[in-house]
Amino acid sequence: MKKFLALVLVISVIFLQFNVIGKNTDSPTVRSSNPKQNAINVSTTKALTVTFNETVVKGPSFSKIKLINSTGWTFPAAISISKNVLIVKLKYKLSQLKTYYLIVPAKAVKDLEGNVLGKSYAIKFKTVGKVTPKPTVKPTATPKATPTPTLKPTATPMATPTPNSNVTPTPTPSITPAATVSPTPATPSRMAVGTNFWNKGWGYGWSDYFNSGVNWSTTTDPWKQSFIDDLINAKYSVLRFMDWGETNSSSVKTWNQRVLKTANQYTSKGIAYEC
Amino acid sequence: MWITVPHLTIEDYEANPTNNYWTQLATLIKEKLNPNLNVWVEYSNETWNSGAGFSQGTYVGNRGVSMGFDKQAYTAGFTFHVYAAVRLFKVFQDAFVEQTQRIKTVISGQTGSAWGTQIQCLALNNKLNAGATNNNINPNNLKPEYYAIATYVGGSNGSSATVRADWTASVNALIKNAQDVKNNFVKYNANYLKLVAYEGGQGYSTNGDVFARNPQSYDMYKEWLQAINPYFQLTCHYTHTGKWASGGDWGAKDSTSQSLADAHKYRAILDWNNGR
Repeated sequence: MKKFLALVLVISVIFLQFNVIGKNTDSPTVRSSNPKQNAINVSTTKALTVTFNETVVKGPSFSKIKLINSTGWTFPAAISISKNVLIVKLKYKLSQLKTYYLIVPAKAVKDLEGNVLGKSYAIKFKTVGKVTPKPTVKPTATPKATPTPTLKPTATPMATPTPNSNVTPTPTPSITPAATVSPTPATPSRMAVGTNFWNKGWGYGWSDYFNSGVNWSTTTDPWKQSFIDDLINAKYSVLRFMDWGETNSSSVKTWNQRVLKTANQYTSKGIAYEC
Repeated sequence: MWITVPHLTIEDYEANPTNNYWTQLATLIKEKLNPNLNVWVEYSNETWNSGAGFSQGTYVGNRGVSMGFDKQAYTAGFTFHVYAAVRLFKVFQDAFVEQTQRIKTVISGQTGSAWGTQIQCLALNNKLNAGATNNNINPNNLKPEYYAIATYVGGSNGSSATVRADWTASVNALIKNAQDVKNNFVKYNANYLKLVAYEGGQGYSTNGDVFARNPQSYDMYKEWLQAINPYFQLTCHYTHTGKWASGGDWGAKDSTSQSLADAHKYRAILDWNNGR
């Protein structure tokens, strides 16, 4: 019996000692990061990581972690933790040849014992990119203005995109008509072609754009894949939302009159900006 | 994205310049749009047009007259467009203050109306048609980046026996109009403006569907694109899809499900944008 009590005593002492001596009271520290501090030629798409010396979880300032550009604008990113690695996934591609800062403030993470990150940590880096040399252009002389005969203003459009449009007769101008200049090919590169979209109340209606059976209160992607493929294949550089906004003769005056994303876009008057 | 902001929303701005439809819209787009994308901002659509279905034309004319910009609503409307647009641009530039290069500011005019361009260039310089100065038109002397007209071409009948020659003649007339616009940029001290097209493409009002189904429309579209290329930095085709019918075949494609082989206009645009 005495031997048994002695054994219990020894085990208890060892256990107590282990608890006191093994108690972690140190704050987590950054072991490494990707990209490294002041790195250049950093990928514009790859996730950023910060590796700590021990497993960490979200701390009270986790929501204040941010990726900002040199003007302080916060870049959208999804931030998570996996064991001892903080992962910053970019929601969009970063701009090329731009400087960014990943800011991890104090208390953003804590270890499993509750010790918070003691000091804020920031990584500065510059993204990869190709510097396009400016083409050497021979300076051109200022076009010589040549007076022209009296120019009668006209209100007649070349053609109007919608039927039944007409124009008020144009008054006579009281200002000297414009001089002409030599033909001025203004675009050194190829003109871009974008597109408008037809009013979804016309023709084949919404079925050209949206999947059927969309739950408008929950959907995050109602678009028909073949429609998206067409836009991508055509490389439209600009999408103009004139008819989708029901711009002509619009009665919308205030913000609360706009079409909401949760509205039924099959039947709504126009399509929500957020779609 | 290119947005055309409803014309009546200026009244919300005038009632509360710091919290209104424009400020809310700018904030929403800044929050939601991919930051690698730009925002083209235009006040309404075709404000020169007071025809049926275009109440914005009547509105800007009436507002312009009431503000003393001109006695003629047509002319006053061009000035009011500038008055409204520069305020709209300022709201977006303020909202995107650290990334104003993403805001593409567009003053819109009317193809074939050198007069309208003249009035709008004067307005940007705070001048009225009568020669008077009105510093309330463009109080911040904002210089928009772009000026937009339309690039519609074609004749009245898409099945005409002379459709090919009519097309070429129409393209040449469009180029002349574009040059007139650029001349006015120079003449009226707005030569910083770059010319773009808010809409464009074929504009047949009869047998448009015949034109669209004609394989020659591919070549005609390429001719149109090549001809206007030196004058425009961008043209936004009207439209991507749109059911082909006699009274209008606006769509580059009849529908999303149409094959590439049958969509001659779309194929021409696709090839153009892919450098072919």
